[in-house]
Amino acid sequence: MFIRRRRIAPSLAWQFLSPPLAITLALATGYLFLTLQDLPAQAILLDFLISPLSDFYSLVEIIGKATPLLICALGLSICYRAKIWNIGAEGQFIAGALIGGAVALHLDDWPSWLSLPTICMAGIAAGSSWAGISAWLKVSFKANEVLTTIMLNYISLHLLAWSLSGPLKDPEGFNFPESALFADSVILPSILAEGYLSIGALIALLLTVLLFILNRYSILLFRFQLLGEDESSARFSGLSPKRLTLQAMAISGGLAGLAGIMEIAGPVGQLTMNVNFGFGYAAIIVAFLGRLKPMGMLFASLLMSITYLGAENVQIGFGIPRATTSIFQGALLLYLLATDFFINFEIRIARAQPE
Amino acid sequence: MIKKKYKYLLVLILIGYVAQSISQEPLKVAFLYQHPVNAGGWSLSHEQGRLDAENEFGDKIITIALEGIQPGPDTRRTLINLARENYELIFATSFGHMNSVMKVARSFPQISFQHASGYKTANNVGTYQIRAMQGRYLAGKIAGHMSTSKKIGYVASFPIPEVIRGINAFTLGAQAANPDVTIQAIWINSWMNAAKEREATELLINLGADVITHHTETPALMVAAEEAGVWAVGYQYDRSQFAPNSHLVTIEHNWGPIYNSIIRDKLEGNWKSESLWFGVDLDATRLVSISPKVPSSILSDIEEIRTQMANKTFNIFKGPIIDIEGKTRLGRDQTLKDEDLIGMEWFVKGVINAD
Amino acid sequence: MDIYLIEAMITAVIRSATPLLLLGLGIIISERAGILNLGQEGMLTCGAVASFLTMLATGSFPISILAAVAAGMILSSVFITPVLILHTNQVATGLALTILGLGIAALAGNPYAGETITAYQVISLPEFMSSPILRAILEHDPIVYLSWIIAIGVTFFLRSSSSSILIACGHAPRVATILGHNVIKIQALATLFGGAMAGLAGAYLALSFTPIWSESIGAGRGWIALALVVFASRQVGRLLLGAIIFGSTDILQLLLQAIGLSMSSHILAASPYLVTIAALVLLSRQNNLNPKLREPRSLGQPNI
Repeated sequence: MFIRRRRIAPSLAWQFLSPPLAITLALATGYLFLTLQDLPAQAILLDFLISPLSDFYSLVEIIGKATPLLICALGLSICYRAKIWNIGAEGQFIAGALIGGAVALHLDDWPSWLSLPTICMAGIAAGSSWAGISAWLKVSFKANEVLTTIMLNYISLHLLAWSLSGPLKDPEGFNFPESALFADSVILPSILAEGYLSIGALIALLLTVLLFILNRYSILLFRFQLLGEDESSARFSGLSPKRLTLQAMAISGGLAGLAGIMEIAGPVGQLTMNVNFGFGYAAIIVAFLGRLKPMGMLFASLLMSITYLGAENVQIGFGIPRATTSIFQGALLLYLLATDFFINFEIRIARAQPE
Repeated sequence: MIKKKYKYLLVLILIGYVAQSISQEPLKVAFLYQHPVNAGGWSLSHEQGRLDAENEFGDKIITIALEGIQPGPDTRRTLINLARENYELIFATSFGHMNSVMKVARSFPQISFQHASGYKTANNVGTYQIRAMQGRYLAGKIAGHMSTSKKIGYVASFPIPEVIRGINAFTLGAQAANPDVTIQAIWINSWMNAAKEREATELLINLGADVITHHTETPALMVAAEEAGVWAVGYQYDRSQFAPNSHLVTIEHNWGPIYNSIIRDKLEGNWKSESLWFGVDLDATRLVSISPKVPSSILSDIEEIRTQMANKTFNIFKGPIIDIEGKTRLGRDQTLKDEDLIGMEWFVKGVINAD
Repeated sequence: MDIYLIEAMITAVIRSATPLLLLGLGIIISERAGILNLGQEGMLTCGAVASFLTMLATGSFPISILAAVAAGMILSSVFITPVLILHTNQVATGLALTILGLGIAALAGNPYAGETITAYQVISLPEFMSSPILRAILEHDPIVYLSWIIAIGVTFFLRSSSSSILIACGHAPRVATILGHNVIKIQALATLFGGAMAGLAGAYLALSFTPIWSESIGAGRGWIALALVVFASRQVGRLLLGAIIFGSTDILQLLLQAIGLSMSSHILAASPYLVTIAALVLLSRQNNLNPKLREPRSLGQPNI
């Protein structure tokens, strides 16, 4: 008989063992799956995971794709620690991209050193306010944030569509629902001499480090954790759950909005209907994969990014349909959640207990 | 010392060998689709074109089809991957791919890019499109004859020029058959949403339409029309299987001739950047599966007009034409140039709910 | 506005609300038991593809429906097993399920996306019920009737004493365990029911509503249903109301377009979501006063 027992302290060994084990399990499942379909499993899996890491250009793309995921996830982790289930990163991302993009289209005659921070501020403010709507509804009317954030995601999509068909439409774009291309002065500079990696990647890294330091050495963010663990204790120590909720959502929304505007004013360079690549939802996965810890989320975002790129490679190389990416990502997440079990629990074989 | 004549022979053999291997090197052609192939008519029609090209050129070309390529950085990455794999002719079939194509094309001047339904070109970027409005006009005339309630429904996606052109051409054709016909349009703001298409179709039928057509991807409209017993006009690829009794006609996209023409140019070294817009003259747009219930007098009338279109003696948009606000857009015998058609954003009188 | 149009609207609204109702019923039961399953969209799409493929293969509606229900239940067991045995985070596991489910459905179904099946036929009511309005409300295909029967069943179940164990699992699983109930089994069964409902909703979409298959057939209904259950405070009556509100604003915005209202189609398209939020805000006052309507205290928490 196997019984589960909670460990006294989380096992350090398992914290490091768990991801590689999960990846191995996911790969093994993939191997089985592909072999059953008479496909060259080994070659495909190599192409999937190794080829994105094999040259400089791909590495740059991985970091570029991981950047918005990471920034959103950092914000979400604050909310989730407070057990505020913000599912609205998608909508906050779009809000940031939309408002920041609108500002960028109007500030193309400003010097870069002035316009870029301005549009980033605009993006942060937009995302923050968008999340603030849900926060206000929760605080004033006890409206559940799962519902409001999901609804706001859809509303933000329609708002984007409306703006692109109306005020933000490119006058020379033959009536297509797209904005004009952003002027060079409002595109984020690249941190590389060759190829393009927007400065957003650097900012993401800095934010990660900042969050890491704050978590470990400061008490600033602990209040959110406290709210999530035990609301009455939080109240008892003088904190206001309402204020904390507003703050957490504002920070989270602001970060998502920042991710949005940096994506638009970076690799994309235009505001279109496809501005959201499902980053908001993918970021939720990244947050959990990284166990809500900054360093963990850093690696998780890179891992997710590799799977996206790997899927594209195997589609070109072997004709594997896109749907397999989702299956692999879902399976990987499940395995990781399962192997994380061993961090906090151990399995013992119990002999028959005397009554 | 090898005798001179043998040296010449050797050189000739070498040249022959090299020439043979060069000419045997198949041309690598890539096709990018935004949506999964089977799900929608647009990508499916392109896929059919690709298969036609494979049939035509055999082992002179190697083709690859990639589906699910979303506009933005994903497209850019895919294009770069393909370029590095020596795909020398790349067809990007979705409007959203246009900007990425323009960006990537700059770095790969020796690769020829073709973009469907867009308007930007470069030295190595050409565009190609079908004059579907010709097919629309012809189908519209049939619909106008067959409609008894004089109300025709149009389930439309986005109010972009391509869709607007189609609606206008269809309306003009219907009005040529019967000046009292009105076209009622519902915009579902999506290319592919089967449930919405169905709801819109049912609504239009309930508002009195007895012929329905669409500019969306799924066959949901056909099924709904079949159930309600009203005529349905399909678009993009033969939809008759979805509505055995109600299928009036489909305006089919036939990309084969266009692809063959472009690939042939590239194989023979004659490729240059052009804005190709093929119509009934190349059979690029054609009416298929016309219902047997359509009287032969109408069919011969349609055939007559079709021949005139191919000879360029018939112009769909020939004045006098008034728009829905009553403004005269075209005076007597005035016609529209291609540039006006590409950016068309007004509706002819008789279209209800133009938004 | 003639009577014919109103009838057509009523029918359309009921049809549009049915998948939301089915999904919602499943979510209500599993949430009452304390399980938050965010994998609705994945289970929904898998149910749709299972029923569609089965229909293509067998041509039998009942078997296809069973296939869909089975698909939903299998997927929900993939969710509940790690949750109950390994205490994995429910939100994350549910999301993983959504991704997995959507991927599996797309992989299995895309090759057949161009196929057709005959739609589930509406059952005609006997002649004496000739009132058109009554016809509009009551004449539907079997799955819609099934959804009503299940809704009534769930309502009675929740009012009966046997449901108190379920509710206890959601509020205080420790206490339920001490009292001798097998909380794990109850939560598992509740989740499987949720999966079955999601599968059934998928079957409705694929067999009756559209009836074609495409990988985006769900169109976000899984998420909307989750939101509607929150709106409904996990009560069946309110869920029905929410589903109808959502369904009617959806149809209404198409109608307003068609009759030429000059409001932008985008704003109209956003109206169902705005209306749902507004309705929630108005209703939430009552929620806070009535303890029965509060969220199960242990919703989403692992029972360790």
